[in-house]
Amino acid sequence: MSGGKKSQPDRLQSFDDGAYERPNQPYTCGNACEGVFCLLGPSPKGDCQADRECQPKANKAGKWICGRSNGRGGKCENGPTADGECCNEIPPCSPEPSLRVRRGRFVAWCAAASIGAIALMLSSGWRDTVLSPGPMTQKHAQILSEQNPDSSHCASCHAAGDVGLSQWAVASIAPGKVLGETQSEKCLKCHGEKMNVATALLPHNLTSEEAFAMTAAACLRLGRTPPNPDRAANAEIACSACHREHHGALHNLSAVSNTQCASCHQDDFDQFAAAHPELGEFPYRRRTRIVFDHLTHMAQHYPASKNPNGQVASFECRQCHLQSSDGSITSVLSYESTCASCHDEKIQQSFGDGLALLQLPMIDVAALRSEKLDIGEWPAAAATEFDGELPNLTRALLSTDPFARSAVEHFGTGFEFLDVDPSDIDDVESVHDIAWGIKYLIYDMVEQGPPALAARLEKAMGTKLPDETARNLTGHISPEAIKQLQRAWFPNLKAEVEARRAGRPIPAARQRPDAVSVNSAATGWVRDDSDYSLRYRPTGHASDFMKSWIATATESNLATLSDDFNALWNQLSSSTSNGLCITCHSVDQGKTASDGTGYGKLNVHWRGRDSESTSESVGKSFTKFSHDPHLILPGLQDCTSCHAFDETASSANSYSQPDPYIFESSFQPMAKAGCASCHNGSPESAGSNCTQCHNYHVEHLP
Amino acid sequence: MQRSSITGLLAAGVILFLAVSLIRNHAATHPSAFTSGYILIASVFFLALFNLRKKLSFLPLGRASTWMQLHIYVGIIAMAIFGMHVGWRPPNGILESCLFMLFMMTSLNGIIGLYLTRTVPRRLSKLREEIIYERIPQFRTQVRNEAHSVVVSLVSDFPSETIADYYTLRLTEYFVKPRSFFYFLNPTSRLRNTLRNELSNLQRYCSESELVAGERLSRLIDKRDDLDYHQALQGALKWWMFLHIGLTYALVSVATLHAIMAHAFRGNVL
Repeated sequence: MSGGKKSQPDRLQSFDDGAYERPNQPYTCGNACEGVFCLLGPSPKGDCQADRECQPKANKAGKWICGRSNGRGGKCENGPTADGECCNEIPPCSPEPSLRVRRGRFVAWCAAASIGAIALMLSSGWRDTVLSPGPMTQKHAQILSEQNPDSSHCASCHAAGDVGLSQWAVASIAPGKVLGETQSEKCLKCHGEKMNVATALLPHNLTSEEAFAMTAAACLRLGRTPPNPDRAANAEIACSACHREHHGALHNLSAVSNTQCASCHQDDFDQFAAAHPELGEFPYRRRTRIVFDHLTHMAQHYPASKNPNGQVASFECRQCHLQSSDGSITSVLSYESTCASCHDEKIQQSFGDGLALLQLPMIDVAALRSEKLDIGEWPAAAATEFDGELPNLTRALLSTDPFARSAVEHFGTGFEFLDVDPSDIDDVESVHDIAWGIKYLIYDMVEQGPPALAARLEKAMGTKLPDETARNLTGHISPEAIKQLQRAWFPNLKAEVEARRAGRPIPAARQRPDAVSVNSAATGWVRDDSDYSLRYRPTGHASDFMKSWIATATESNLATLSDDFNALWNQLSSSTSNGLCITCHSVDQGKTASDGTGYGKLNVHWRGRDSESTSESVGKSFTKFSHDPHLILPGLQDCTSCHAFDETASSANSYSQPDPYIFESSFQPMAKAGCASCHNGSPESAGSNCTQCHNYHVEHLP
Repeated sequence: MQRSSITGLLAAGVILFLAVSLIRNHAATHPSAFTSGYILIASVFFLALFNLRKKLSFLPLGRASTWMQLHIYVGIIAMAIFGMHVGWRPPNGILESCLFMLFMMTSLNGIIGLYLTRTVPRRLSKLREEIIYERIPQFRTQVRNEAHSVVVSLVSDFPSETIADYYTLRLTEYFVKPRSFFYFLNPTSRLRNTLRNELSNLQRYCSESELVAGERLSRLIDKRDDLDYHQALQGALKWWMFLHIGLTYALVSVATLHAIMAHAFRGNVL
């Protein structure tokens, strides 16, 4: 092999010998390797055609002459036989398939083997096992194994699992061909229990209107042009677009990559430090639910100057804000451990004599009789002249009685019975209707028990009160106490009411037994027969009775509140109300009402982080944050390193209107740079994935 | 590098860039695996068409060399898209693993074939003469017979046994037996050199006529080695194609099933 191609006399290969190969023919001579192959070659079917080396020809003299060509050695020595046959017989062979045929056979075998293996697999019992693109996550695998221990699991999530290859092929080719329920529909059969099915497949579970409104707001904040609203279409995204199964038992199904986010979010937010916009108002998106001015408390009530000997606690964040077991700082210490020492006395004082549920007005019964208006028996001490007021609770309870309500409306808001003109027949008739309204109310309470109160209120508001609220409205007053009240004030009440309702004359008044006041310190109820009132005096902070009445008053839309409930709300929310509840517990009003009136429902916040504002109850919002991994860092253990006070702010003014998002925070806005010092995308950083701070499935808009 | 190769590589780069861009943009509303899958199966069918083109040589379907270049560039692009399609990691399922292996083997086989078609002709052209592959068995017999006749002639003319004994002990097997399987995997001239050295060492014991015979045997050793070398290299060129086409048919079958299943079982139907 050394040296280049040389011209040698003894070359093996001669290209001018007249012979040539026929690689395209299916068979080759079986003697070719011995060098004695015939020129004729095998037939196309592989039969040997060997005969003799030449076909002798006769010359003019009739002598047979050898016909072997020079390329095959020229004329032979022996020449043809006398019969004109060649004397050199070619030995027969077993033709062999050419390389081309062998390749064709091999390829055909490969194709047949692969198609055969596929057919065998599809018709066998381990079809699903082979076709499965990989193991499922542990939870799905476990659930499906329990549901269908012996049968195919594919059909649980894929409609195609129930059919075969032919229908798969049709479904692949035919546009719009659906084999059954879509996979997302199957997902929602189980997962729909924990999410709103109507919006489950929408991007971020938001309607196009909600998504567009948020996008437009964000654009406005960032100084960009909002997108065209026509582009806001309710395009759905299948569950499997993000949640990819069959990637192993330990695969994180909920993991979403930055690339997946960027497939819709055209701005490149890949690097938090470089591309993410400033944090805006986060995390101070709304005023605090408890009216608490951090700055005032720090500067006026807990100044260092008041704490020379440790007599007054210093103003420390962790005195009130607790780190919960999951590491988040979501809970605030109880009222008793924080506020009570300073505020409890004032709250107790505010209870006064209690909140009147009922109070009989002073009525000039003689004036009524002169107009032939009979109200039956009325306590003598309260039957002298017109005086007194109708408690707002009573007024709200009377609003279901059309006559009493009309009478109250006749007098207008804030009236007192002292203003009744005995000579005015309308005034006197209105007093008559109010008196009977009160008697009907007490009759209902006696006959139906305490639930009569909630029933009346629900009828007046046209809405069903929550069960707990309805139960607490009565302050757990016993039915016996109501009956005692009735026996003390109106002993003949049942006969009177039934006679009036039947259109019969009112029975004559009987001699009343002496009234005896009933005080129940245990329940907080006080029946005062000196002024014929039934009052509830809360036993302390967080009275269920007060919360229920406030909840009832706020159950309706402010704009549609009747005068009766408006008066009740004004009383309960005033700065001098019993318990001073609304002084500290802020009241929000939604921006829009479900009925489109433009006003939302009132919402009283009873806790710093209400149960209704936790992720468990309202669902996830766009942004999430856990204090736990941050508080490990020594530099962040001082809360003010992130939450710096804005000493120029006046947060108390934020509660003069109901919108919680119009407020002045006591804290300076947080800068993105503070986060980016750790979340900067470098290998040793704390990471900068979108889903570290953002949820995809949004169930609660901020 | 030839200008056509540079142009081709540039074109392949542009096509790959466009394909990747399409996959990334299309992923906004569809799983990117579908986009890459469509491109991939179209590429596989196009690559398989090359074999059909060779069978239909009578049709004006473009020059075979153009098809060959396209086959190479589309094959390289398909490998890159395949990596994106599977996420640059082996799949978990049995069928997908089979498909993965088939694609990898076909691609690897194609790369080996590309290397062979680029290097083997150059190596063959350095040999003493050109040999038609189909005639190698015939020439091998011819060389064997010639060697035998040289020795028989020597022994019959001169009563010397040096060359004859050496032929019997060492060269008979060399001329008669085919080379081992490993020689065809890595053909070398080690045996030829050994035999020629041994024959050369015998020269001091040889008569004049034996020297002439020894020289003829040396040339025949070279011829036989050249024939084996031709068979090894030309055989490699032919046999890798066996595997490549066989694997292609299996790949097309399993890929078609995979494509049908991916559509039938896809979860993004709404």
